[in-house]
Amino acid sequence: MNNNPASVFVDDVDFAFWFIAIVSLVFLIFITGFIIFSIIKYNKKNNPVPSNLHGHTGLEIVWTIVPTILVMLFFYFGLQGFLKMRNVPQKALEIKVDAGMWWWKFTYANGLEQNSAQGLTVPVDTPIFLPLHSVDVIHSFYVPAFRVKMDVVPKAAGQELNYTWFESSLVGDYDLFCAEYCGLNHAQMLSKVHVLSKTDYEAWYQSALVVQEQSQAESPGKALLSSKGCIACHSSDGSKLIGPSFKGLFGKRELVVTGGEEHEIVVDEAYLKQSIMEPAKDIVKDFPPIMPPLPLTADEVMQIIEHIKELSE
Amino acid sequence: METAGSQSYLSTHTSSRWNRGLLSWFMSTDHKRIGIMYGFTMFSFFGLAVCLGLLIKLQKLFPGSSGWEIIPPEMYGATFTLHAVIMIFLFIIPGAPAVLGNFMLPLQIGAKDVAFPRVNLLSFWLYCFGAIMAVVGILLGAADTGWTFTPPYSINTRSISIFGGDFDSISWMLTAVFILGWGTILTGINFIVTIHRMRAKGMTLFRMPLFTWSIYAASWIQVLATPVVGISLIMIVLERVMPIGFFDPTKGGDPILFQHLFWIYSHPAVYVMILPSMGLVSEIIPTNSQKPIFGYKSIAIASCSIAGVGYLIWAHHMFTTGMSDTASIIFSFLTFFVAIPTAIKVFNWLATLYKASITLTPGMLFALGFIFNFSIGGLTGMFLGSLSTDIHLHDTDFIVAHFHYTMFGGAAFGLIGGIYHYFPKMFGKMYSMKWAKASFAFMFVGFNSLFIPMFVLGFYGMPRRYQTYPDMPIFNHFQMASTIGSWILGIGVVLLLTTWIRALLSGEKTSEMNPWNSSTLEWQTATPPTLYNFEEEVEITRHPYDYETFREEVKKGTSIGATNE
Repeated sequence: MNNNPASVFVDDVDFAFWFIAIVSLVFLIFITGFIIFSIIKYNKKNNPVPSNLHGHTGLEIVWTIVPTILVMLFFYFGLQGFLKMRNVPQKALEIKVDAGMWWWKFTYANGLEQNSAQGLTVPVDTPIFLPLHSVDVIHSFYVPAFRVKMDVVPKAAGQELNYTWFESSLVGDYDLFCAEYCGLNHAQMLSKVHVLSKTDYEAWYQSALVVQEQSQAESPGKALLSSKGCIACHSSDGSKLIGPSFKGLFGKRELVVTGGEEHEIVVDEAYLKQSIMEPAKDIVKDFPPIMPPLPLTADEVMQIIEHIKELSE
Repeated sequence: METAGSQSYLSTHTSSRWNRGLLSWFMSTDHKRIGIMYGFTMFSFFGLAVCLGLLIKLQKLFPGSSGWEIIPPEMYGATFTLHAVIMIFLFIIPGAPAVLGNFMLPLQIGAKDVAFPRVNLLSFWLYCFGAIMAVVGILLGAADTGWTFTPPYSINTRSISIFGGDFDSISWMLTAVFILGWGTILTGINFIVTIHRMRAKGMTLFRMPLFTWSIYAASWIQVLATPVVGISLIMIVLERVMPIGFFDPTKGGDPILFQHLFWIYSHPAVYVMILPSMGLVSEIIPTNSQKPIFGYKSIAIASCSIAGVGYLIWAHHMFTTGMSDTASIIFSFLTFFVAIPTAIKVFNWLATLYKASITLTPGMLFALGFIFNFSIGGLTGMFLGSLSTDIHLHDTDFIVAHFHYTMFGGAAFGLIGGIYHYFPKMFGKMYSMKWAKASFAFMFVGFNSLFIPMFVLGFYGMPRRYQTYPDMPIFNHFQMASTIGSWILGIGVVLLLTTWIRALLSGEKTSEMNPWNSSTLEWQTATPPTLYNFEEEVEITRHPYDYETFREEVKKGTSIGATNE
């Protein structure tokens, strides 16, 4: 848990922030002070005869020019930080970010995939380039401690992805939020950025891949549930999340709603397949109809169904 | 001579069959009655939306780990959507033009009514129809898109019907907003024509009161910008019912295009909300200072330039959407140019206080509260116009606090001040000064203690529209401060509405024409005004805020447009 400033953008952003803040505070104190002064000095009792002042051209020119100069400074300082945020260094390390309702996935060059619970692990003092891909609606990749935010926008085929980058200067764990409203579990679409020292990162990078390959070999279905984000809404231990739990699901009798009509079904392979490919068709009663269709191959669907069967034995 | 036109507009004036009870209001084309009907409906919705806001703040008292839940996650989206849709489309966009614009604009320029009285009534009916449709729609279907209707979420989401079955409440809500838009456009056209064609003899453009000027600027925005949002919302409805793909990327559409279209309207719309309130402040301050407004012309021109520049800066809502960097830089640059006329207005109001003779009426308190709140709203806007700081603060509680400072602390405070100011003139009744001042104290303190903590929360990265949040001391403490502030504000709103209702039911009757000694035309007629506003034709011979001449006129008993014997 940490929102302390920790990236190369912080100095620029915070300088602009505090510059504007101090100028604003001076203005606000002047405005408030003048109002209070006037109420006391020029109230009806103290000043029964008002002056007949209509205007003063000199004064009006001054208070047009001074704010103009100040806001141009605000623009300039904001621009400087922004240009830095938009110019990605050549040698940056690329990690692909995928977002969906309501999960994150981070994919590394060697095929290593990390989910929301595992977080985004990066080396310290290294620029990290993040192409941002959404599988459904607009999300927003936001790490307050790094002053980084960019919307993750679903794009039509062939369009360029949004991107952002950062370079953290401090080892630690930082909050990663979804900042664009994306429905029911928007507030749970959280993850972490783990900044490791360069040697720790190298060690982690190799070992995490080994762990991933092992678990894929053991149960490819289980690995898919994690990497495709299913576990954000479906538990494997019987606890009720947004969707039904996988535990004991296979062979269970369920009341489902199809187009407003309720009927009972037995969960079998065909039903599971349909629920994955066309999630909006039959909705288990008392659950919201919100599961997005996921781009899975037929093999992957079978692997997931196999795993769900295992969980029901 | 007792003609219909010389009776109070509140009394029964003709013997037509539309003349009984509520019907005599609902069928009335009198601009004054229409204004008051808007006032009642709008403030009823305001009360409802305040309750929703208090619920949202109550929910924020508990971080995710506490296990407490006031609004469950599946209702949270619908709650803030309903709060925002009511506050924006049913309260603050009709806002000051609908209530006080309708009532005061013809009086301020010496006209008998607006240019198209029947169209004016049609606007009100459209407003009622749209309002009922929106509220029923959201209540039946728990639409949760937020008031920004951002696709593809707003295209894909299936709202959860409260009574079972399929009910597309999002399409309902969008259609409702489209219908409300028609009402707005017609009102805008009506006011523009009224101002151009119906001014009394001698009422040149630069002799118009500043409230009229601000309505004029706002009306142009309504007429030119509302069609854009109307079409965009209908495009979403079409996408929901047909596989069209304007904004859906899986069908080759572009969701960012919608955001451009939406903000092309919705950014200028914030000036529809704020300009008329600025106009009201420009009436209240000189009246209660008993001196001319400082820099009359520059305030009038500033209103128009805010309306003009307001069109060119919409994409500053979109710095994080990934639009081209060049566009971001240009829009950031242009954004700062709207700050300058705004700053000019604030300084002009302050200078009006200089060497004045100030009376702190409830209207004046709200006007001064407006200056304070709106200054914070405007200054915090600088953080959001500036590129790098916006990247950090966008979509956090900082933004929520910023726009509440402009919309509530600004626009709504101005409107409330305006109603306090004009209340005795409109109804011929006086409210309790003590209650009115108490309502200001609670609302001002409550409002600031509710929203100042949200700036801090936003700076520390608290995203907006979160039903729950990570358990961190900095979040917990400031959320709690903010929630406590919401209770104080809640008491203030109750006091406010009670003060008005008490005054209407049992307030002291008054027929005093000009209780605050104002120099503008709308005060120089009977209280409450007669059906035709002025019994004789009015001729204007001086500047609206020329208090020196006004005092001489009062001494001689010849103030402009005076109709009492």
